[in-house]
Amino acid sequence: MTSLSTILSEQAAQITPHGTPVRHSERVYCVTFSPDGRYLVSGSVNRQVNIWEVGTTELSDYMKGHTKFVWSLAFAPDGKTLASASGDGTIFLWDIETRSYYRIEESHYAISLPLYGVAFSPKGDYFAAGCLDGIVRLWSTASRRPPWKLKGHKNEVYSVAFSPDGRFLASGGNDFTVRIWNVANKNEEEILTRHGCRVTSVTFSPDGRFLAYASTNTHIYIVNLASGESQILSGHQGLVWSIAFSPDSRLLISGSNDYSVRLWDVESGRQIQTLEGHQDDVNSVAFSPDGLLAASASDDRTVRVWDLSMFNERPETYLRLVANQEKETAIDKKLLHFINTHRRSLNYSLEPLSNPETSVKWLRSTLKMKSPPPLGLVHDLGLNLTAEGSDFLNLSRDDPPYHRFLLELRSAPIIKELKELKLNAGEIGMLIAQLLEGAKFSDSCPAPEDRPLIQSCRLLEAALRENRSKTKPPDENRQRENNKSPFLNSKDLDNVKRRLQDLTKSKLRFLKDLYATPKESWDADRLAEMIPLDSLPPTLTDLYSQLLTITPKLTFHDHRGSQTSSCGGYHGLTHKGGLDNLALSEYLYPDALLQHRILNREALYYGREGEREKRRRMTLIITQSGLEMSGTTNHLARAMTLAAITILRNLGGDLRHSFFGSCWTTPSDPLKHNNRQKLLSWQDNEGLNLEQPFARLKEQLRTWQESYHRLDVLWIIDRHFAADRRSNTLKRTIKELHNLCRHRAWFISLGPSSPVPPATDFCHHHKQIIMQNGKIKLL
Amino acid sequence: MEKIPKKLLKNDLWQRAARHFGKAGRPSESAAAWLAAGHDEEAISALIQAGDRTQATPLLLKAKRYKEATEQAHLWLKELAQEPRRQAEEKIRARLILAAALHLDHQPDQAHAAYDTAREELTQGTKKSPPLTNGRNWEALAAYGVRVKRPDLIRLGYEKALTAYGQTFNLQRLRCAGEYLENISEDFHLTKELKERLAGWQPQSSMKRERERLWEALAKFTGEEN
Repeated sequence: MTSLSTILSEQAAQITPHGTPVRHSERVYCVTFSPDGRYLVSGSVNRQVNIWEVGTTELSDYMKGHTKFVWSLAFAPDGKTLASASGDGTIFLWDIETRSYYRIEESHYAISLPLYGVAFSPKGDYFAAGCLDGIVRLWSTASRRPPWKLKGHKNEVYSVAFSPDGRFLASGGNDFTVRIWNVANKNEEEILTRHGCRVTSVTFSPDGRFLAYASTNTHIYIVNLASGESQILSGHQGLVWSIAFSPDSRLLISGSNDYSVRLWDVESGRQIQTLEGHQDDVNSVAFSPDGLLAASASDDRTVRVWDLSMFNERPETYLRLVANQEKETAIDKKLLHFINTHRRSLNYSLEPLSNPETSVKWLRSTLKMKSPPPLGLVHDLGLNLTAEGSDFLNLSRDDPPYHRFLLELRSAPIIKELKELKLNAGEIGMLIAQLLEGAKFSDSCPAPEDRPLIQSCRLLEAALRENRSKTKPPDENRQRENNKSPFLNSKDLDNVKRRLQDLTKSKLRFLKDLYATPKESWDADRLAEMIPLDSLPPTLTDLYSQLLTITPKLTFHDHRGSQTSSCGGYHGLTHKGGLDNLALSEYLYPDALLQHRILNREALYYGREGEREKRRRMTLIITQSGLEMSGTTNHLARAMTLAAITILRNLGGDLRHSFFGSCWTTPSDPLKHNNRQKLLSWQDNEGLNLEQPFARLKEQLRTWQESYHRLDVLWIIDRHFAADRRSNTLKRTIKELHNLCRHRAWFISLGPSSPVPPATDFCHHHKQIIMQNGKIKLL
Repeated sequence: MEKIPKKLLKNDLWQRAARHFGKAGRPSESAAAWLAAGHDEEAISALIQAGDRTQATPLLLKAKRYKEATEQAHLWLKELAQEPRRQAEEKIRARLILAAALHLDHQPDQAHAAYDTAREELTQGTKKSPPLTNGRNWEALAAYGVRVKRPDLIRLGYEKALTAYGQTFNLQRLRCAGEYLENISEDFHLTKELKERLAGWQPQSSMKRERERLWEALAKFTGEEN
């Protein structure tokens, strides 16, 4: 029986960005919707609060007043008042209608301390904020008297949230704890310390059943407040900055520094979908009050709004889907409606479009192609590839080429193998995608922002319209028309035929294995796109298949373990900065001395701002080449490189690849087609040379170090790589390399595993890939 | 009368010949006969007696007599130091044998030192030495790889040796390819690639007899029946 989360997951596959991203001039730290859902409000580095009307990308208005970054925003329940907390140590209460504000300032040691998280109570009678000094401040909206100071946290408080009944306030911060405060008596009720990591965001579910908090260990924790049980949501590859519950408490959205926004099913704890598009840290996420939209704010200077409208009819959808489990659930009803409308018009196919659901499944696997094929073509190919028998095959000369092509498909020798392998609809779709790779379809109805499925249908519709508009032509014209294929030109038809002829059983198995690999850590479609069947060496398909099976076990997940400040992590202390990133130790000095230190530039600051300029990540994959890597070792290294590229491209950041053999090739972008070809065909006919390539690599890494926040090198090498390095110069170079960035290695060896570990003194982590008796295993 | 198998008869004859050569004070011939008879231990004694350390040291390593192999390799290097002409030809091979003997005798530091010197000389020597010497030296590196279980060196050594022999030294090239095939039998893809390469080689010797031998050898490696 299909679980509810599976249904959600399949629906979520259709989530698309709602309109174009809202561009900002600076990094955006917070975003929230107004309670009436009319406005989207964002706060950014440019110190102003921006107001956007939902559905537009034009700035509606902005409010200025803060002198530092705006860290957090919260609407009062009446929707008229907006609170903004800033690094300048003030909270502004904005009147949304008049744009006027009331300024609240909290002074401490004569210096304003940055305020991070702000929240209104559900009734609007209180609002609270977390502060750098670890004190949660609670104000009464009515009295506007000095705040109550809730003391307990030992370090910065990043986030605060009221429970839906307004009785409790939760706060989380840099002291690894989540504290629950009683709003009535201002006492601490409970401390949660199970996670052992900094807490970046806390929130209660609107139904009051759950408390969720995100931490820097990449997990999200959901505590069931009734039972006290907690579950962990894992999936992010970086620390999670922000979380939010949907208004019906069924979904949770999270934003992370792995550049992704993820949607979770609260009940099952399963990840439903990763929403990709941001190109830098996602700092804040929010649901619209009706739950139809979600917004995410990022360091890439955009706010993206995500369309979750397929959840609009959720209760009914649940009932319908659960009641009818046999039917496929992932089919877009709009698409089905379209197909049903045009069913009678599909006169290109040899068979009537009797089972549109199957055609849609085939089509889904082809959507990663640059230009999605028309539904009619996918239907025709799928139907003829899976057709039972070919007894009726009787080609006549008068058949139009396209019809003849379809009939010939059934007589291809591989069709029998196809049936033996019992490929499912997704795998058939993938095969169709491979056969159609590179084919060009009409772009008469470009709709880049449109869903590919709908676009595919539009292509079909355009073809149908063209066909209908033609009046009966004279005989010679009819002949000419017959020679023209409705979907594919003659060159593409020939390509499909040729690929089908070249298809072998092992290639089919490869496709099947590819499709069967776990999707969580592996994008099979993208890999298929990367290794088209044409360029796959025929003898190596088994090798690649095995690699695909083991590769998802490898992980690139890694933490540097340094302290992380609320705005993105820092690497070391500096004498330059503002008050909002003053090191905590400075507050231990007496007031006068602190002022003296600041004025004389002796004070220490978290070196975050310098680092913020180089936020991006660079990963360099180095594959060993040369005569030492002949034969299977060489093939394994190339295949592992492809696998690594596929994994790493999903993690975001820049990716480069180079060979390391007799020389060190200049790093190239492996995602470009030409470079991928080079990756398979590059030959190095000399032995390994260490000194010069290491020196060049060192130079390159130094250059990159200046412009990248994070630098990783992944080595894919023979287990005896650099086993002969004994010269002092070389040892020194390797030591320097070790200090420049993080090095990880995948060592390849043939035969039985050796008890002697590979030479790893320049690597932080390593794994061994061992091939023995034709089987690959991982150590 | 019972028929004696040819092989036994042949062995017996070789052994008799070896003893006769020994008594006649011709240790080289005696060693060759012992080797032909398949008696390595006696062959080693004869070779040491004859001062033929080129053949004696590999046999000592094969017999796992590492300490003696080390001694002999040191003696070999000493002798080479007094003969500049031989030195150019054999020094790298002697060092690699010494490195292997030390490595297998669990003396890693000394083994590394000997190996490093040999590699350095090999790299330098490639530029100066004639192709045949180069080929032999690279083969010696491959043999070192076989002894110390370094597949990367096996691949590098044999590939470089094959390149050095080129099309000029067809017999050496075929012999080297045969040894290469023996030592990489676990590597399916490399074996396949090498066989494909072998099938593409065209013997160019003008001498009829040599050409026939080449074709025979080629057929043996590629598994074809003539």
